[in-house]
Amino acid sequence: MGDETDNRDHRLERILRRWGAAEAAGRRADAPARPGRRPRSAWAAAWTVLRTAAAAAAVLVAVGVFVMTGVYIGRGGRPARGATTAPADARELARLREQLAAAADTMKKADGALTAAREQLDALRGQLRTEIEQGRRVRADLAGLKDDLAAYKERLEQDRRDRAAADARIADLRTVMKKTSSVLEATRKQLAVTKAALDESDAARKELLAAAAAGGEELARLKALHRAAVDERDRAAAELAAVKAQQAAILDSLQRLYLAAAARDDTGWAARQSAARTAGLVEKLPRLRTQAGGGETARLLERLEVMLTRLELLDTSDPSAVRSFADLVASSGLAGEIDAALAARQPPELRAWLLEARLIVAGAERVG
Amino acid sequence: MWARIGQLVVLSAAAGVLGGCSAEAPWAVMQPQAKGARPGDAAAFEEAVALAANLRYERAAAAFERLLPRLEAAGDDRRAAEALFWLAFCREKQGRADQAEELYRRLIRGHPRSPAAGEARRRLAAMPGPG
Amino acid sequence: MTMESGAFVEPDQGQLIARAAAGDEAACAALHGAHAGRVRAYFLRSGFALADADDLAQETFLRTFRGLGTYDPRRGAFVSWLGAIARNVARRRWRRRAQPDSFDPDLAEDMFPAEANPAETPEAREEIEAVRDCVAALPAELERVVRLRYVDGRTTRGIAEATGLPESTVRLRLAEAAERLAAALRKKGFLE
Repeated sequence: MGDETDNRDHRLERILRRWGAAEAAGRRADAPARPGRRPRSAWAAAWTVLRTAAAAAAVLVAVGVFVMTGVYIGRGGRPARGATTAPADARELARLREQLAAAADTMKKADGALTAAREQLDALRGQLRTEIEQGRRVRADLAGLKDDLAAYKERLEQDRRDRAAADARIADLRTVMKKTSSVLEATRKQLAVTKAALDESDAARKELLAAAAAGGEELARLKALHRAAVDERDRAAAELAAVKAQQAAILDSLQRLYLAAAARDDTGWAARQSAARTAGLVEKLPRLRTQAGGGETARLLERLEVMLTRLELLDTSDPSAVRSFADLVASSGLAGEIDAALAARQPPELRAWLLEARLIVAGAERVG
Repeated sequence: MWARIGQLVVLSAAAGVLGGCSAEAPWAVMQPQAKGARPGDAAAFEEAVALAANLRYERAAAAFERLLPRLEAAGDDRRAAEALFWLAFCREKQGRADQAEELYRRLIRGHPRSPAAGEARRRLAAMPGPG
Repeated sequence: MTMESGAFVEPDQGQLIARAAAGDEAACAALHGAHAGRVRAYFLRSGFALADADDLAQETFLRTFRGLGTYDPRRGAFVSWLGAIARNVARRRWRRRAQPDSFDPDLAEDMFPAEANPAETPEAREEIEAVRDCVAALPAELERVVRLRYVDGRTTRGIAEATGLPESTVRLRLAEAAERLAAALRKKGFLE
């Protein structure tokens, strides 16, 4: 394909050149062949003038030589000294005078032509100078125009570059704007979401506050309830204490009655010792131990055995011994344990025995 | 409960009336104040009793064993007899029946008229016999 | 013989030359008329100003007629011999060229083709006519650069100076013109 194109290009070039040459030859063939028919350059004109002037000068010289030669010949080749034969000489002289006049005339004409030619030459020289000057100015103008053109081209190029840069900048700015718009849009959406969330949380806060207020009311109510419950408990505790006091009072009364059987006017340890002996509490223990089984009641019985055996051996006349024993009983917690055992289901005999043991140790802290 | 307490009251009243003539009632025996009892020994005795009251028989027995020679040396017969009793009691509670029996008998031999000896006799009688 | 404007003389110009060499003024004039255009165009295409081109053409013909007796047709075409004389004349006045860089010397040489009258055949004349029509059909700005190139024989630089266009534009226009002319000539059957 490339070769084909090259061949076609060569062929076209050949065709065009052939045509061009024919056109050029035909165009130039129309122009007349001899010089002087169309405006000539100053140089050509000056050259023509010079040639004419030279021709005229040559003619003058030739005429001059001819005249001199004629004179010389007329004198027979001898320098002119005197006159020769009169009629032939006169005719010759007239002829020579005519020739001279003709030559002078010719010379005059040639002189005139030369002067004219000189004038023409001067004019042409002036014209040439003018044309040269014009040409110089035109060339300078052209150079200046060329420079201007180059400068304009440069400016145009610069403008094109600036415009391209400006277009690029505008494109960049448009891109930035687009990005900023999308960011703004995203931010707007985010703000809307955040506002919705804030409204939600505000509602939630209000709910919480309401709940807190309600909770506060509830708390107050609960506090009131608690206070009421505490009061109730205190009342119950007071009642219980009262009941216990009552119980203790009853127990005291019972104990007094119980111990009175042993020592009428004594509730001291001597009376208790007597009561324990009378009841045979220690002796009953082995049998009662089998009724108690294992567990807390058996352990209670074992401790009561030690305590009652100690009571049995107590020297009630020894105040320090009595005091030590009273402290021992009081700190033993046996009264409470007996109450606990009595609260549980017990065989009747054991229950009765525990009751008696309880009466023995009751109020031990008060007994001196 | 009130009825039973009433019964008990009656019982104890009856028991008091009936038991008042018992020759076994050891409460009539009044021992004179132990001579030569030192306050430290008395306190140690009470502490040993407290140990036994808390069922710490091993420690109580050791305390009574330490105390006994001192009480005997001090001539505190009553406390010595009681200490010996409690030592035997502890041995009995520890299951060392032979030792307990030995100690009860020693008590009875050594302090025959002491309240402790009376209690020792009762416990000996209540202990399961050999065989 | 045919004497169309720009047309080349028919092959029997040998007779004409012989008569001109013998002093026949009419033959001289005919010979002059037949080749004056090409000679003048040669000098113009060499970069000489118009007046100089005329003078040089005149000088060329003077020398040609003076030496016509020495011309031997067997040694080469008359045009080549004429071209050699014109080249010598041009070389002698080489420094008088007004625009030496604006004209393509190859295109100047086209005025004296190596082969003998290649444009004389009817086919060639038809081709030239066809090209003339196609060129005339081009848009004005393309026709102008084509003429400056192929008729005036200017270089791209010379065309740029003559038109005031940048050389790149000149080249573009020449290429476009070449494409259009190729298409047109293909249509007329003068190109494959």
